[in-house]
Amino acid sequence: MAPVEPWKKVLVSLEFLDSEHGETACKDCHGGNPEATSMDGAHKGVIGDPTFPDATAVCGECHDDITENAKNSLHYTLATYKPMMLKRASKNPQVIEKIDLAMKNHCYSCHSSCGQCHVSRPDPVEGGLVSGHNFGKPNMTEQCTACHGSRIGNEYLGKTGKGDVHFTKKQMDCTACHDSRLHHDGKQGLHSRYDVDNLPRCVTCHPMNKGNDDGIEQHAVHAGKVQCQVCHSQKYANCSSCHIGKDKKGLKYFKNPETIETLKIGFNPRQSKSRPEKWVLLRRVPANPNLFDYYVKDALTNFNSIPTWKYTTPHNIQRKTFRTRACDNCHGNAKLFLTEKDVKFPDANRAVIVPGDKIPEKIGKPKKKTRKKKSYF
Amino acid sequence: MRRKHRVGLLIGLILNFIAINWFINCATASECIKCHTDEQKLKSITKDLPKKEKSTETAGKG
Repeated sequence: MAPVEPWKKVLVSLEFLDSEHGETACKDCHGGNPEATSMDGAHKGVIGDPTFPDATAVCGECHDDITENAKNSLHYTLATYKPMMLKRASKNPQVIEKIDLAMKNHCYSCHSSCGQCHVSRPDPVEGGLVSGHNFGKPNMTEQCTACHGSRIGNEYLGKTGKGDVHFTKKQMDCTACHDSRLHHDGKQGLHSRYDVDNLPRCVTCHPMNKGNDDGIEQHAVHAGKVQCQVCHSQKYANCSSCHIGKDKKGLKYFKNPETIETLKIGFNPRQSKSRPEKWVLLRRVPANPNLFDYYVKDALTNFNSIPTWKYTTPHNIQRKTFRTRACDNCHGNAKLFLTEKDVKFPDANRAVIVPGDKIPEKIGKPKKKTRKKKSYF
Repeated sequence: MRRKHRVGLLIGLILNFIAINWFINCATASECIKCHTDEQKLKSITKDLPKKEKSTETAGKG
């Protein structure tokens, strides 16, 4: 995504001034001094995004029910990052202090806010008004995939692979599934983004495909045992080996050179009542024991305490894939399963690795033709 | 029309005029928008602003 030109980042449209939000004086939200005669004087004390870290003062007057929750949402707090990292980390308080500093410098800048989803591009992509300061539903390319782009955006839009049928055939944008209830959720004590309430589920729109009555044998056989994406997604990006630091000029950098496109089926590390499937897709995350070496050596002494291959829900769904063609394209096909030889840190991934003798055996029959009742795509 | 009605009407018109102007002023009286709605002015101001420097050591996708 090309950056917004500096002048356009702050250009306010006349249409905005006629809107309801435009009735509010600039100073009421952004501060500064409108009576000053110089640019510096006018911008003294200006707050570019008055909705971060807390939007209750500026948005809350009208949207109090939303802002109270939103300020605690994961887009604001990234609350699941630190507990996850601390599981891998040394218990030494001095080391944890260094990890905190590193995360503050490199990780926590990737937050968003009311304004950065509804008015401007998010800060991590250098901001800039999206529509002349007009407020609106988040724009898929300017806002959602501006951050969620290198994996989700590219896969959904078909920049890698064939794209997601929900976009290529139906032009559904992100908010068609990920609605405001999900993004404004301020539930506390989450361990993962998959713990957020109101996450979209395939069966919400495709209830016939729960496995009971759509006439598709494979749905009846696999429902509740195999995650939908195992059969219906394409290969997806897997990162590895992230390193962070500062260069000679003191500028922050990251290095994450190796990204591979692959698809691996493994055991569900998050098996629960809401996600009961035994077989799920796993994505390699860039965690590695030397991640914080620039700040402190041996920071992640408990690195193997959680997997580096994580539960994933790729956004590149197709109704027909290689795996939907025949049973034995999965059954007995060891290449599709996450085995010990696929992982760099086997001890971290014991819970998700599929031992050779656990790979479902070949069935030896062609896929049975099924009566097609109804297709959404 | 009786005199007290005329006075009432006049006061109403004056109050209405004040209210409309107050609402318009909220948005337009601000000096901020004189610059922030002027594309040419913003272009001339921002062309000389220093660009944000990024590390050349960043590699790969984030």
